[in-house]
Amino acid sequence: MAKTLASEEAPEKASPGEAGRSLRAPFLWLLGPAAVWLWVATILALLGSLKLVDPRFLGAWGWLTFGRISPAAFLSFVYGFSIPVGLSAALWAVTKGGRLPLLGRRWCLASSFLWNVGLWGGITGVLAGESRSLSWLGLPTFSLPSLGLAYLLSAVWLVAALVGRWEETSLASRFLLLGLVWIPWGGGVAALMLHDPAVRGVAVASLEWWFNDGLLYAGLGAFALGIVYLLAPVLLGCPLAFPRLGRLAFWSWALFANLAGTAHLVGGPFPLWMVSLGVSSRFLLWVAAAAVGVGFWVAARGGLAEKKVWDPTWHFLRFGMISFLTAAGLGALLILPAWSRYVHYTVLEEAQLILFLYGFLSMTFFSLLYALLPQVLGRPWPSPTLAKAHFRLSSYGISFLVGLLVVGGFFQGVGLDDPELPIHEVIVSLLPFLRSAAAPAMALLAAHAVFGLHLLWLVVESGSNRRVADEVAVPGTGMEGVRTS
Amino acid sequence: MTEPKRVLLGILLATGVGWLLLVWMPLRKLGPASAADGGAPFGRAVIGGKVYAANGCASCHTQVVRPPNLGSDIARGWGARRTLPTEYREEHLVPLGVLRLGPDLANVGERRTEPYWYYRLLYDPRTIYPGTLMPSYRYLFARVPLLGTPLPDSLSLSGRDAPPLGFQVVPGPKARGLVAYLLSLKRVPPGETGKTP
Repeated sequence: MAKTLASEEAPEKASPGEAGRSLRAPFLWLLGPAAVWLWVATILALLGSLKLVDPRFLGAWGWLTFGRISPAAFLSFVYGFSIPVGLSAALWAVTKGGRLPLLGRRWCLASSFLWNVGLWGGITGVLAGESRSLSWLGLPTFSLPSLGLAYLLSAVWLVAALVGRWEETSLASRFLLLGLVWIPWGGGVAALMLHDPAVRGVAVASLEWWFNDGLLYAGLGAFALGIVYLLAPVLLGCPLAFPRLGRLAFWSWALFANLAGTAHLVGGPFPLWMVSLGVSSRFLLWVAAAAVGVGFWVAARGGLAEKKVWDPTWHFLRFGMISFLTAAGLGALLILPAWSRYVHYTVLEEAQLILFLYGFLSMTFFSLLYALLPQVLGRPWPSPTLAKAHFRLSSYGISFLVGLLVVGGFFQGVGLDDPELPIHEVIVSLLPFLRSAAAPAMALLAAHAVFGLHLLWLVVESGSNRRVADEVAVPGTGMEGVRTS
Repeated sequence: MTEPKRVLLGILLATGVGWLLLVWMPLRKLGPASAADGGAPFGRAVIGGKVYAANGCASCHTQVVRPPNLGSDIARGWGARRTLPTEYREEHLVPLGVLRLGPDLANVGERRTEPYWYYRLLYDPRTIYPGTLMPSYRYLFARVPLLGTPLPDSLSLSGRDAPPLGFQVVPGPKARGLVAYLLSLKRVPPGETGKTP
């Protein structure tokens, strides 16, 4: 899986297996709960999907109503799974795969504990009806101090280490730094302002959407792109092509990800310049995505001629990049004024979001987990069959789910645009698509169950065979900046 | 300045530009008006707004009437004109929404003025719209003993939904608040009404 590169940096610790395993506890504290949150998110999403099949399903309990479990699923995925995996990527990068000392080890553990305590409280609060219905900012107030403190405990040290151990040519470091910095900055500002009584009116909505798209693109998207730049050189044997174009793409991404949010406010009570800024920024984000994509595919074309063995890291990464480019392109197309009339407020927009979240972010994150967990735990993944099953269930599930929502959203948009067609009939015509989406949602649940069991198997095996693992340690990754002899 | 510090500074500047343009400026230009320009919503409707938010109504309903060139909202009768920033000026809750799996509610209080209709809809939406996706919010209602004549807002239920003998179903405080909030949603000027969807 991992390609070993010639050493250019003198490793500070002896064996690669030992180096990676110094990260065992922090990674398990980050990724163990993340796997649980992934399950929670998927189960809640499946319940939401089943409620679209029959709204009376589990309808007697307020905490399981569609309007509560739908945001709870979404928030569990974003805050429970995505951010901890993003932090893991940064942790891996700054310690160069465990070869440099991990100074903030105890802080990482405390941070993970606080984060999960805060998030359990927050998701429980959403289900109990404590949410302010602010989409990505929907966690209740009481959970925010714990989450903020937890994030800072990790991120301050990670940012300091990333800057201190900077590599001139590393695009991965740039993207990871963007993600690390944006989340506390954006989240802190948004949380403080939303609790200021003077902040009211439609400015609340523009704040909400600035945060939503900022977190999606400049936070989580930057983490995932950092992972692409970390893994691709290892998998392809060469860095991504056109590094200057990559740097340009990075700065475009950093700027326009902060401005794209108001594209969602087309037709809303906002000045035209705000909406136009959002629309043009969304379009320029797609240009930046295309620049990253060109570098990736040119490198992939040259580096994969001899790659014949099935490799989960590569397959997940490739699917992630295809989803990334498709979602970015779809995002730019949907906000064009000519289209917006037909697609705004339809499930087609949901399809684009799902493609970015599940197709790009989660698949890229899985790619990282398949690459680094064997390094950290000192054992290869126990079953290639389970890895294949995970990939196939995920890829089919995401593809069908997105496909159904795209087609359904198109019909919904055309129906909504016809004023003679009652809204009730428009939604009834959408029902077959929404109800069919329960099947791919179940496939995704199965995929995440397979991954969870596989992870558990790996952890148990690594725990029971530590000494054997020391002897058969997988070679250190040759991730960008992680050069091992 | 070293390269990593330049990159860090660049990131902070890029994020700062976004905050300045999309948060600070709207707050200055579109934010709350002076005290003389009308007050904030108050009373039961405010509680109802919180119930609306807590139950994720904005997951399926918007509160934005788009101009005619961007959608058929006005032709559908969801409002006599597009939604303006001033209509939300004093509100802390701005549930513009993201998806339409139901009608826009920006002016629903203008179209439906009868509280009982809302109570029936919330208790069992399928009695009004067969086959609808809208879930039941019967957990916002209470079953109380029937002492003498039924309370004025008790629901007339039959069949499987009927309460046991000697009991009646009445809206709880949250249902009353939610309906008060929905009835307060009249963002069009008086005299300009839309048609019922």
